[in-house]
Amino acid sequence: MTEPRDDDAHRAPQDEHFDEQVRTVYRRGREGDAAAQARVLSRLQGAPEASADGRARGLRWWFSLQPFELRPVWALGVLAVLLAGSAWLGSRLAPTPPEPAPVAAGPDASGTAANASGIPVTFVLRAPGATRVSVAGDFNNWDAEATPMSHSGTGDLWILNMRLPRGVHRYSFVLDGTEWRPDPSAPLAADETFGGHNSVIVVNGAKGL
Amino acid sequence: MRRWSTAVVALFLAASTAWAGDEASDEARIHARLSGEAARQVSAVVREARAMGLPTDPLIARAFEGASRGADDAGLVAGVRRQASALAAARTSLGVASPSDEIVAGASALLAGVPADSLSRLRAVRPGGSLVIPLVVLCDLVARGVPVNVASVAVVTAARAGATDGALLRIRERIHTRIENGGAPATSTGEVVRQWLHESPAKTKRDAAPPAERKKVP
Amino acid sequence: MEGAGAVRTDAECVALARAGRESARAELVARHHANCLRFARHLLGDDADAEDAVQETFIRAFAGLARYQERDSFRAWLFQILVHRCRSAAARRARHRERFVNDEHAADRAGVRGNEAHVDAQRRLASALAGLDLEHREAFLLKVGEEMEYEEMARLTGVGVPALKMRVKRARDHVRAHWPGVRHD
Repeated sequence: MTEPRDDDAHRAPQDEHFDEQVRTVYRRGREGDAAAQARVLSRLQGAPEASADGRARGLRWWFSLQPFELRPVWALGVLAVLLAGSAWLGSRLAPTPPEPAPVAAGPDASGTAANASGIPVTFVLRAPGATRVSVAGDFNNWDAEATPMSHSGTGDLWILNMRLPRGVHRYSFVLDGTEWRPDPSAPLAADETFGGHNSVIVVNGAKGL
Repeated sequence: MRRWSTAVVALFLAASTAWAGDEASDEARIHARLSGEAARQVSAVVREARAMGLPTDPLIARAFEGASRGADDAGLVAGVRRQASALAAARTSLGVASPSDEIVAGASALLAGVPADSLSRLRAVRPGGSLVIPLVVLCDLVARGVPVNVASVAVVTAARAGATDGALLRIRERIHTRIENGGAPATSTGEVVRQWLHESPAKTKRDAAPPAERKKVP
Repeated sequence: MEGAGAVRTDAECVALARAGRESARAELVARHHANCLRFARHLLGDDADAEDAVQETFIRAFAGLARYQERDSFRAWLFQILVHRCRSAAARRARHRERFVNDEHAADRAGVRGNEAHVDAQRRLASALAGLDLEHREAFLLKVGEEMEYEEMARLTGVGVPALKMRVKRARDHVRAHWPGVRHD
């Protein structure tokens, strides 16, 4: 077979021109591309999902229901220890004011130590033109200033790594202190009690949203 | 016998102390953030919810969200009361033994207009599994314009067919992509779920079932 | 969190991502996601399948980052994974007997939306590509769309250079013949 002369050095001029036309159309982005990119980052946060046979594997095994046996008196003992511990914690917390949410990096104006417990999550938002972006949600008392995101340094990407406790958390991005914007990569919370949609993140150690 | 009675007394004391600690902590947070009258009314709703055994953190979070978004006191308190009612209704529909996360997710669905019997049907198709993701996906679809009945049927159908949480999330993303690209929300939902039903491993099992057991997706 | 500073190379980002730096991983996604998505979209003709394939590509890439050798181009390594993901997606679709037919509906399924003139051009390109089989479309998009060298394409597709050149030529002739309104200079 004779090899076609189609490498770059031997392409016919009309082919070069045609390829350029194709590339011009091929390279055009579309609305929704940024949201698709954010969804990739969201998926990269999670642990591997359960296998095709439906049984939990790996990390998910630890969070799935498993039958086991326990002597009742041991169960009472464990429960007593847990309750006594939570009572001590509750009495310690009662007189103190609420603590601001943990911030992954950067200056911590509140002086509060970062929270080392919880499951790591990453929030990402592409926000052209924004000068500051923060996250407000169930996990930081909806304080629009307490949890600023960091600019990635290239493009218009804002990123925040933090740890959240297991559970369902509603949140929103706040741009420049005034604009509340849901996360394009996350499910929306359908009720609009105070106007505008919030987003939902489910933190359970399995594949994130 | 003596060790048993000691253990019971210790448990009772520990539980009481924990309860008192939680209430004091919540009161402090509410009064630190909200104005006098709003704080008083929200605290009352929270106390009542705690007495009913309902999760209280979502109520406080709702109040703080309202404050941050600039809601007036009346609107803020009304929002918290609606949330409390929804939590109670969600627990009734999902079962009193349902974990807090499910009750919270169920309450969001009810506030979005999802009928209570949709929650009950979800519980019926996944009796032992978590309903958090199905409920979150359901709310998301409704928020994106999928009619409530279409979204409910779609999620229940997929869950009944054995969709895992991961599969439900992928279904959500596919529906979202179609809607973003101009597809009608209801049509997109039906198409994606039908496609998933066609492709899923459970299809073989469903095909083997008698015709009367196979449900039609709108 | 890193602030603005000198731009890191892909290899530097990979090293940081291996060390667990989330921002480096996000940086790699930011750099390469758009390219991967446009390739998958034009190859598969379906936005949802394309997005799935690209997601799986990045998940596998970061799960297997230990296998990436710095001497290889990260883009080429990523595209090698992407090509296989797209082939799997296309095979799944073929098994379910949905055909990528050459009609106006193919472009509609591609879900084009945006500026009217751009939308029209993209529809016509999608329609022209729809008449090619997967192998020819793949070669054409890698060469013309992504401007890869044939040797690089051979490594990531597993197809020899002569066969790739033949496929690109045939694909180009077909697209040119089936793209109404394109200027034939």
